[in-house]
Amino acid sequence: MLKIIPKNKTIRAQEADLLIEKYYEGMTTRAEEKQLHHFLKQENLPERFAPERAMFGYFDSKKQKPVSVMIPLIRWTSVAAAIIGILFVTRLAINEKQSNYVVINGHKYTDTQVVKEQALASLETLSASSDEVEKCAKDLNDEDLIASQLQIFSEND
Amino acid sequence: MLMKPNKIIYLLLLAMTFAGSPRLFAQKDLHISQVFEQYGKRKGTVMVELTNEALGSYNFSLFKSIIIRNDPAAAKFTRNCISRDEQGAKKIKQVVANGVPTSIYLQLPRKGKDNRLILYNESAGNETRMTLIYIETESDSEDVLKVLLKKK
Repeated sequence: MLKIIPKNKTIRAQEADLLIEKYYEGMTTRAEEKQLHHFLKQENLPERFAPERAMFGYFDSKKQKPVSVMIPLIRWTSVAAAIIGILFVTRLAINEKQSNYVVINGHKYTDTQVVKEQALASLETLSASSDEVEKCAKDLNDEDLIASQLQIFSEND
Repeated sequence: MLMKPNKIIYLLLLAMTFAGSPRLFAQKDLHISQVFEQYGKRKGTVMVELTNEALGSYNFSLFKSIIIRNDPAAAKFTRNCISRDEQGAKKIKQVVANGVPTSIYLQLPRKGKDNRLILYNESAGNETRMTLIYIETESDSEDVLKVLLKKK
């Protein structure tokens, strides 16, 4: 026969044993569980209550001190590095795209039309006769060059 | 799921290393880059740089030219740079006058998809005029030369 345990009274070890048994069977009431919690909170309990104390989290586990300062610092550093990296790459890409300019007597101009005109002007000094152009372009082709040079030997036979 | 901070930093460093597009530094490996650097902003000089632009009927990845007037030392320096960049290149044309090359056209080894050309010309008259042109293009070198050298 189960004894009725007053709510505010701390139960004794024997009573706790009964309650624990009842708890494992899933038969305890909320009030009885509270009583059990209250009992297991106490220090210097017999060793047999150690599993139940662990289950209810009443052990003074030696928790490792969280590195609460370092983790946010590393995280923010990596975020900052990511932002700097993105800015750096973007700037390089923009610089590459905008690399159209002409420098005349030390003064820089970026108007694309002006730049192209100067570029074409620089090519004018290289313009050649059509024969010469054909010859230059032809010389790029190794096969023709080798064939023409070998022809000299075949003509001498 | 967040990546570990060390991995993020490592990837960023890797990205920044390769961020400088190869195109930016393609001509920097050549000795002629020194000509542009040293003489580009001087008086009596016109230096042009075009990147990823169309000139005439061809698209150039990079077009860089410099015209220097009345500076024999600059011309000599340029020829020295070209003679070093000749290593492994195909000489398309060379004209020599009084023992001095006055026209040199070189096709350099390809860099990625780009064909590379160096065109040099020196003309004498009332004023000496030296022209150095460096081109990178995905177009065929033969076709590009025909267009570039056509008399205007």
